[in-house]
Amino acid sequence: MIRNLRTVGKYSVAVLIGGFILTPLLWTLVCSLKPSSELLRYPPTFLPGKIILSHYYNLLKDTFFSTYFFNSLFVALITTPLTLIIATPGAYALTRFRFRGRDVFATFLLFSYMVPLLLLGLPMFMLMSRLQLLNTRLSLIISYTAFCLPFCMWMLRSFFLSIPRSLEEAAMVDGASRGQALLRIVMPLAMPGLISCGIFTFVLVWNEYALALLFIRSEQLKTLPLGMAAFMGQVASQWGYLLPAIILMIAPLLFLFMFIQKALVRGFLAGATKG
Amino acid sequence: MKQVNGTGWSRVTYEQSERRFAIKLLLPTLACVGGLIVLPILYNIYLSFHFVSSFDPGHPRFVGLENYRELLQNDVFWNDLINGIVYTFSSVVLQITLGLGFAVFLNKEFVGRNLLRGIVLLPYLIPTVCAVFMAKWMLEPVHGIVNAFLQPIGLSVNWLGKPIPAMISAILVNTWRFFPFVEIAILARLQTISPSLYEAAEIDGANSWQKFFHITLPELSSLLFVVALLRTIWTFNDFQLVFLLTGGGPMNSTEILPLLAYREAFDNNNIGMGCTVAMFMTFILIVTFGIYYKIFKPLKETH
Repeated sequence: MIRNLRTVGKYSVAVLIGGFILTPLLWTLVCSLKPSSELLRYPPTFLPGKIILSHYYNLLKDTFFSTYFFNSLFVALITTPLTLIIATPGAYALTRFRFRGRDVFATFLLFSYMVPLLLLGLPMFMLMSRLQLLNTRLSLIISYTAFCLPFCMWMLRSFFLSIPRSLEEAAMVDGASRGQALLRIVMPLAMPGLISCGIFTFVLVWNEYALALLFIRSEQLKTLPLGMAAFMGQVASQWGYLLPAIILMIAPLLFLFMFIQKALVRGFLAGATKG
Repeated sequence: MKQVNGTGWSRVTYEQSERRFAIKLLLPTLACVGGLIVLPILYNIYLSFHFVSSFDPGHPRFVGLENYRELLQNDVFWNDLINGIVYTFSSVVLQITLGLGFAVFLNKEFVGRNLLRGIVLLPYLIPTVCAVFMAKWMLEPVHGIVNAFLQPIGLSVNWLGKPIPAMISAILVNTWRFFPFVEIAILARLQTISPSLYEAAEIDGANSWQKFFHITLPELSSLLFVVALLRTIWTFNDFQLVFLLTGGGPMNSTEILPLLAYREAFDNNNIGMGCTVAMFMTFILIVTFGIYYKIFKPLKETH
């Protein structure tokens, strides 16, 4: 009897937790499928009387949503590999070589990971304005790379620390150069870390709003967060556009999420060589 | 080194080649960090001593400490600082409470645990702009689902239109969006606590609460401190969530320092003043970071 009560209690808590997370998402999804007349009905209907896709259709037809989506994707897909290409060799050097200033540099990276975004944003606005780069995608790519780099370095550094030195040392005893050991031995082991790091960078860029607000003016160049914030300013049937936009903006992340879980598990397995 | 025999010579070149290789690997990072982080920070310090019109950013005018003096005399600055402390403290306390509670629960065994562990991570992945607009939709005064639930008990709250409900809304959205960070960290740490500690306590007749307060909490204490510190820094400096949710309103009741920096720079047309606000935010960060660094020495694993 007591055991049954406990089980019931446990699953009630589980449902409460799930509900706490999922309610906003499910409610947005349900509402995005309701006809406009039902959207503003009082009291709200919990299940739509009729499921329609016209809000999605209107969003893509009437607004710049697909342009925003493309811009976000473009900026994220360039920034992510760029950041990884810069951060990977740097993070490797930080874990494998001793040189003066190494710890100061690592500490500064950790510090800049926490620095207020506006501390970089306002002077960058000035620099971009001097360089005539305001209102270009390039300004976003440059600033996002800077913004993601400390975080990536810090994350990759811990991945490299978990790969035992003895593996590359063995390869080097067998006649491989440092560069070959890095490419053939270390990189394959660091791959799960790189993938996780890449996914987190993508998510960071996909989410970013403040710098885009500072740099971008024209409708054709706006990224998703910026473009969606602009929907809010418009009157009348704004929610008919916003609700499907929220769902479509989250969708690619849910797709990535499945890989995040896998990449994380693989990351743990790679660490297992440490014994 | 004096001895120039075969082995000594090759050893020197090996070290040299190692050093050259290290420099090559580090060069791109150093260039980026120097040009895109250090330089802007120095430039920010420079700009904080200038008047810079946002319409004519090319001609900064030196004003000495004028921006600092004006800012400290501005009541809005102190109002925003206090708002920031209230907002940050409440959000972090709620995040830690929820994160801790959820992590302890998700560490128990039950069917569907892995699924729920996955679901709990979702808010951390969802863009802030989406979280904010979902909240705005749910908190809509007339059509919102939250007020529809409150209606039967005679309550109808203008969530984002009144000062205190607006602050509560901002705190709740922040908590929902960011507590998974706390939860992930705690759950990972919980899994490393030795079960033998709990077994020993059970033999001594401890109940669940005693086990929680005498084993779990002490084991987690240092982690909780780090997590609280990081969340404090990030919440205090975050611009996007509050800006999109309330814009600082109504009547500055939810305005925090990052919003003030933006408003001074662009609405009040002085980028230099915006940089001065950023300097204060950085000063607070440096103090917090110093405490964190002193206590945890995050680099110790490299030695």
